[in-house]
Amino acid sequence: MSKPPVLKITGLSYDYARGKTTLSDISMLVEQGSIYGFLGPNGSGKTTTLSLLLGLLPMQNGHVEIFGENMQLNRTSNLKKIGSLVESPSLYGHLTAKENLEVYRQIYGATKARVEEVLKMVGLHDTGKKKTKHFSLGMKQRLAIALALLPKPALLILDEPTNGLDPNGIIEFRQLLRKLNKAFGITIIISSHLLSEVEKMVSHVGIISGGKMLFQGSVRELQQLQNNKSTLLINTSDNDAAYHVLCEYHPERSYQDITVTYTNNQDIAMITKRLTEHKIDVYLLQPKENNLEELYLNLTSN
Amino acid sequence: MPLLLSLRSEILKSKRTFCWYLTIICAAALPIMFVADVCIDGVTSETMRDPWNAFFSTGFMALNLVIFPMFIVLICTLLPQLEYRNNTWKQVFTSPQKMFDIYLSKFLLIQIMILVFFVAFNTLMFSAALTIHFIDPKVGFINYSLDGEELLIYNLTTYASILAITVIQFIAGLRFKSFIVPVIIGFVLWVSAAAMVFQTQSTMVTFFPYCYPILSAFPQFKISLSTILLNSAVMAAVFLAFGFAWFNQRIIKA
Repeated sequence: MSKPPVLKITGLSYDYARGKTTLSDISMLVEQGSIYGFLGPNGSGKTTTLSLLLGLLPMQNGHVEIFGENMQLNRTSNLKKIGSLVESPSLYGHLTAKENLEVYRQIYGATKARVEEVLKMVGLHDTGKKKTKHFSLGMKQRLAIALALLPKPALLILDEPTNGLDPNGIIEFRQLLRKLNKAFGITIIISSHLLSEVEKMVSHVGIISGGKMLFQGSVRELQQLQNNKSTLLINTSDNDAAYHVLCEYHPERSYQDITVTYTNNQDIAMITKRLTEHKIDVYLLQPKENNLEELYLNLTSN
Repeated sequence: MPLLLSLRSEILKSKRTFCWYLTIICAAALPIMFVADVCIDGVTSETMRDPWNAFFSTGFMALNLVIFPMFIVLICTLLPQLEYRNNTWKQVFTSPQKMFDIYLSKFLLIQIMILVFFVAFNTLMFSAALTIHFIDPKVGFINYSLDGEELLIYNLTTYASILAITVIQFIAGLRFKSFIVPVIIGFVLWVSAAAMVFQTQSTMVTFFPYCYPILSAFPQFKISLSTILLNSAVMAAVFLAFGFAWFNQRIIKA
């Protein structure tokens, strides 16, 4: 029996101003134990969606269910199980790392030992009396994660958490998230405008653009979609004849070449065989793989 | 109790902030000025007749006219600014706290600071009186007793008269991201109140909360003191309720 989803959004729509739709009929399903990459270009509606599901914005249309409960009706009890980081870290600059966690410790019902534990987890246990306003961005980001982990959350919602981090910081951050997911079974929703940033760690992907959900599924399903969109660039001694020979591959003519879509290597072998059988010399046979990034760009630019 | 946890959180946030220093600075301003005044000009004969009560009544008059309204305007603006300046409203609203607890705990922290202000002001006034006695023993503070009941009434009247302003400035502080706007609002309304009381002597003063601390401190207006204090308490309750209705619907842009 499959596990119930941690998050289920249906028909979510939102307008900041009348007549200007920011989100349109968004549906999302996040399975327990998954790392869900919520992708889309800047201004596509990622932060609005996450703000709505955290209750930062009032609901207009749609339904948000977290841990099987209506979020609006069970806001406080659900928030006890959610750790979040929406865009930039929310920290009090005049307080130390420990004091920042202490502010929320009892609200989350966490023990003093838990404060030490999460600080160790993010590598900030030895910052002493240093105030957070003197922290680097990477340290602030890690402290914000520690704050999100304080309640031992079942769901971690991170909105563009790697913004402003250097490459090393991004790598460390990815490792931390993987560890949290594997070791503690925390379900993670991470938004980003770069697929390359999250594709190595996510198990599921949702792609949003212009306030509409364009794709949702597992990374395997996205790869399948990618394979279906792979193309082969062909140049022959007689491109007109080749165009007719390959008509079942739905070829497209360009000035000098023909482009056909293919799904696997057998297709390439079959295309070559067909052309040689018709005595057409093949000058160029170049598979043009549509990587996930290109696929994502194609999806979001359309 | 969730409200107490929220209040604890608010107190921890305010640690090492300027708000606490401001409370002590404002509470110390008048006692220091009184001591300085005695050092420069000496003691007036009026003070010598009933030193304790003269000293404290002058103190509360000056407090109600200038220091306390300004303290309220600044403290009610500075505290919510803590969330705006650190960009922490998102964290506050995504923590498992009821909106009412967040709202009320922030208001209660202001009340705690006002309480600290009163304790500090009374203590420092007492210390200033003793200092003046050592500077000029002929004032005779030691020969007279302090009317504790009168002092308590001064404190309670001042607190009650400022309640409505506290709520209005608290809501303005929450509403505006800019520090300047609520301060200007408070300053303009305070100047208007002083003009209404002393210049135009408008009959509307009993409906204008910024007039209440001035009216309650000056003997010539004490005839309507009970009305003023009742109006202040009722307005505070009404504005607090309206303020929460707005706060509960507010939009946090990430």
